[in-house]
Amino acid sequence: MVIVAAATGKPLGWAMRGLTPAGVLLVAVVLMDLVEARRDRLLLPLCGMLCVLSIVFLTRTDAFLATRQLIAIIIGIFLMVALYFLIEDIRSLARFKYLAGLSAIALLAATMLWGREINGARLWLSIPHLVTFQSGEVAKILMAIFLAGYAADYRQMLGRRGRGRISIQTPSLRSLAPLLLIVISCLAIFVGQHDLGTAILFFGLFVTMFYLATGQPAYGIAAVALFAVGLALAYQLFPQVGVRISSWLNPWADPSGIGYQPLQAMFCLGEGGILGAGLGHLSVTNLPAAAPDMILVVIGQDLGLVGSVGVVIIYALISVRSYSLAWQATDRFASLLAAALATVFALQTLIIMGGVLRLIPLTGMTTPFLSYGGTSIVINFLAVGLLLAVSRDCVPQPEKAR
Amino acid sequence: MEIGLLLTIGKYLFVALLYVFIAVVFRTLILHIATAQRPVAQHGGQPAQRPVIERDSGQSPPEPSQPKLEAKEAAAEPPQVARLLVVETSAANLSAGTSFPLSKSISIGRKSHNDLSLDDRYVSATHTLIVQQDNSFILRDYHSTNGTVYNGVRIQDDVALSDGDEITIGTTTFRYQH
Repeated sequence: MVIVAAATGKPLGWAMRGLTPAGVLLVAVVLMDLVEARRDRLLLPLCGMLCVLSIVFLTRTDAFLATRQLIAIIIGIFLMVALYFLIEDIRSLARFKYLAGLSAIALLAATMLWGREINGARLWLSIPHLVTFQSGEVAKILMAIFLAGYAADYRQMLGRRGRGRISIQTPSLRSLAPLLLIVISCLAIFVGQHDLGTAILFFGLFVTMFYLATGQPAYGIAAVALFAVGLALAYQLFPQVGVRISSWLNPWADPSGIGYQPLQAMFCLGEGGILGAGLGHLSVTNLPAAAPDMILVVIGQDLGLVGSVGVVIIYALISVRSYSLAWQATDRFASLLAAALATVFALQTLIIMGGVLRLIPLTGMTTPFLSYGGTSIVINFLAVGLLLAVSRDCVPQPEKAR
Repeated sequence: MEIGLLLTIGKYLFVALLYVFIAVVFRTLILHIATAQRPVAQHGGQPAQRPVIERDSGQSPPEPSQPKLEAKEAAAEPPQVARLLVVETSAANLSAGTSFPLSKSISIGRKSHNDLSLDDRYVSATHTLIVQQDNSFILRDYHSTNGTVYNGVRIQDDVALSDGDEITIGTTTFRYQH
């Protein structure tokens, strides 16, 4: 943890602000250690490091947003600790799987009906005088709990093998019905809201969970086919999908319109070069949506290839760590839950990084822990809280830390 | 000029610190993996063992406090006694093939006050009890963190042991023989 605190250094004012989340996290860790020190020791420092970078680079792009982000981080850490202590045994969470699945659907449906529009997308649900949050983010965690609980229970039914070598005996409709109902309605809502990035994320989560629960590659193959069909349909049905794809394939066709953002991102990354232009050396005012979508580009410009690769390594380490928790967990539900959370995290990072680097079309998704977005930060911390609870309850660990 | 130099140093320092952080995480990760595969024994600091249950295998490790007298007594015991045979272990003070006769209720754990102590970091201070009831033995988990595994299943309640059952505690697997 000390390393997190030591990891900021340049223009001193920003660095000082960057240290705040590290300090808060340190307090949280000490608090958690006072009760019980047996849990994963790497996830929190890694996430803390991302938060520090987040605050530093948000301060550099937009100081007002950085303050709000800082508040979100502190709330997130607080809620994470609360959740961690509230869950006495992560396995007991399996009981709430249907509640979690249904409330995810309810949340999304409520957003579709009464949601608040911000920047032309109705993804926000607001409880008057209390909070406004992005329901898709909340649904991610609820969905992970539901899928893990369901897959742990119905493993046999989903995975019965047929006679042929590849053929799967279709599971009985009764065992599949609740799953399909929730999955399809969830995807339908996202598509209905034109939030296709999140739809892809959830689709990836469903497919991964199906595969992990059954161990049958046939599901994966079927999913790829389904994905292709879905993409073709979306391309025909929704004009903005076509816009996204053409701005990805050929940004020069309209350099001041739809191609503006991807082109500016490329220019910024190019200015960064290998070693970077230096923190705050160049302006990023002409980079649209820098704080929510393009924070990685800002890092790429300031710290260059070297710095960005460092950030990518941190993301890789968090993913590896989460998957290894899933691998080691002794309980099936806990294992699947960790895998689901890891998948959401890794997939989301992959989609946004690919988008920023123009490897795949850009979708408006948050970069976990790094980009501006209150709900995203809080939810990611809650996910880490769940992972820590998994590591505490179900992963064999050395009795003494050192 | 000087400020420019300072800024350049600061710029590289920032990235360098990022990588120092990553290096530390990597080191910890590798350490974790190494420990998970082969729990490191802590020699030296361990207080002397005093096993109430005696070892009677030929290949018991050189444990200084190993009471030889008791081992002889064990050999003299009637053959129809229940035994715990070590099938597999990474505990530093134990080796596979060793077997312990069971003649009364015992406790198993990492600390030396147990009747059978396992020098294994995956074992809780007091991990498991084997309770004698009449002529048979009952396996009871003593709120251990990593659990007591009986024939591949982590136990919640007491389990009556019968011949051939396998008990896993930390990295050690015993076979119960009766």
